[in-house]
Amino acid sequence: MIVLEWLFLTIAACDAAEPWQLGFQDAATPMMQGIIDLHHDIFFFLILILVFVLWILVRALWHFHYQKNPIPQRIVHGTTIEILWTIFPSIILMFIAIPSFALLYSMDEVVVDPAITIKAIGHQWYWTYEYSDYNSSDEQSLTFDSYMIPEDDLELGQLRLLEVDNRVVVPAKTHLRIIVTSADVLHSWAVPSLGVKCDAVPGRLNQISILVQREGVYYGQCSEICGTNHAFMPIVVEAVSRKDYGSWVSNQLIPQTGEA
Amino acid sequence: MGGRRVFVGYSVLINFKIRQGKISAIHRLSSFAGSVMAGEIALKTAPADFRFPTTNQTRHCFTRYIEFHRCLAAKGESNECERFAKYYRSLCPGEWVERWNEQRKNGIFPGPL
Repeated sequence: MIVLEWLFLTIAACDAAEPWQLGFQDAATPMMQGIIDLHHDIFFFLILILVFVLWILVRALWHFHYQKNPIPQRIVHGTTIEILWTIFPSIILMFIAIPSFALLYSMDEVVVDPAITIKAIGHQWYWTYEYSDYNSSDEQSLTFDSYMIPEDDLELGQLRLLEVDNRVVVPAKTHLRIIVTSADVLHSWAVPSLGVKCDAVPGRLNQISILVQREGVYYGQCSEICGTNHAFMPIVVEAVSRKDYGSWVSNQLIPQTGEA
Repeated sequence: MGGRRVFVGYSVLINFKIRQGKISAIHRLSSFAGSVMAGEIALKTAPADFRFPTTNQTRHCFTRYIEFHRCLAAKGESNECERFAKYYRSLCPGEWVERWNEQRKNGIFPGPL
């Protein structure tokens, strides 16, 4: 490990937006991995078609000369080629559609019962998280607000416009149900690494199922315009081991039982 | 994950199926062990209800709340009703529950209690 660090070969996952980033953030759920794989599959055919079309286009432009070669095309009919250039794109579309539908329908499958339900409630301009599985009465035992840390209060190494004071702590390798709603206007709970973007609609409970496959800290931002501080209500999900999650929940619940 | 071959579509499809199989196998193991534990905390929550298979779970939360209060009206304060209470507390935002409790107290709750 030390040798790897010295050789600059340690691997740190990209779970937050990077400056000048071009590609996806690293996947932490099977859904996001499926999205990335589909993107790679489609991109392959996209490059094939792009190169082919550009080649023909540039070639036609190159050979056109208003005196020597005003009509660059020499063939005007050809039933065979016309059939071919109809069938061939349909085949390409089929190769694109198969993994696309596979991913789409696998996303809809809800085959497992979740172990935890977490409610994400959007406000102007912060998120509230409720972990109500541990309530013994209608009173909320584990609920907290999550505000962005202002730029002036950031410590060295923290991410601007992405850090929050209270993170959403979840256990890794556990099926989660996240219920997203809003208390005032439309918001959207989005975390790119987890492949999640779900609108928060007032009066409606939207359910998403995620399985975070590795421990880590994942950043996202509100993704539906909600007023003047829409850009300043980020989301941070911290996935920890199940044991650490249990200790965290116990520590959060203790003050409540102490008061009672 | 397969090279850039023409039949990449089929390999991706098979991969998805394998991935799904792996995931449900992992779950089967944990569900046989009983409720999942995290230290002293039992990880249990409202199960997926096949009456509400879609993303919109608003009616699910509302139905669980009504089921709890109808159970209370029918059986009084018993342990069976506590199950429904746990479900609606997991699913429904605290504000909604407070509002409905107020409405019930004032006799204006818009549901078949």
